[in-house]
Amino acid sequence: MVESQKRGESVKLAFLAGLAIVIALSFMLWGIGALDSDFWVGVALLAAAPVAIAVAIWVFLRERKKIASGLPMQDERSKGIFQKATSYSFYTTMYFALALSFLIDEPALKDLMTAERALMMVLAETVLACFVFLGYFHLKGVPE
Amino acid sequence: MRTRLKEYRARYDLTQEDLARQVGVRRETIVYLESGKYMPSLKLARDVAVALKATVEELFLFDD
Repeated sequence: MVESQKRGESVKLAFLAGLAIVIALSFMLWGIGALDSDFWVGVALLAAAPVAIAVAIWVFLRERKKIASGLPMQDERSKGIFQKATSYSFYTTMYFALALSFLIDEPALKDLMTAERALMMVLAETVLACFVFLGYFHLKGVPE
Repeated sequence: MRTRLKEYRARYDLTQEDLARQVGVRRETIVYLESGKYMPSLKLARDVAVALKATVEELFLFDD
């Protein structure tokens, strides 16, 4: 990798790590705000955000070392894994949303399930499924 | 698919990281290529062949 490519990769990495930290901090602030209305949601967000920040910093430091040694941040295999994981998480979200649409009118859930909560559940499922599939394909090593 | 990457890499005294750097991929990709688990694109197969001064047919062996 030439110097300009290394610089480009480093900037991209710093941007992604920064973005992850900003998103985690936003969730942390949201968690603080939610403590009064939804205590456990607030606690969960406040617990998850520092973990996400720590992971972002760890990944940043590890990848920065690799880029400095001339290895790329992504290649065709890792891009393939990412594409497969995101498409699979999209499909699972479709099924999840469909299942939720059947459950949402259940009398037991009617008071509990607001539109905001349902949307948050769908978003959380998408992110979680994406991480699970990413982990699975990374362990397997190939996007097949 | 079987590969002779390890043999050719040893011939030129290259580590997996050296080869990865030469062809512009992550080291893990070379690991999975060597084990025959990962089916590379035509471009990557060619790049690896050029780096190891061999042909694609010499490096990647198909049983069928």
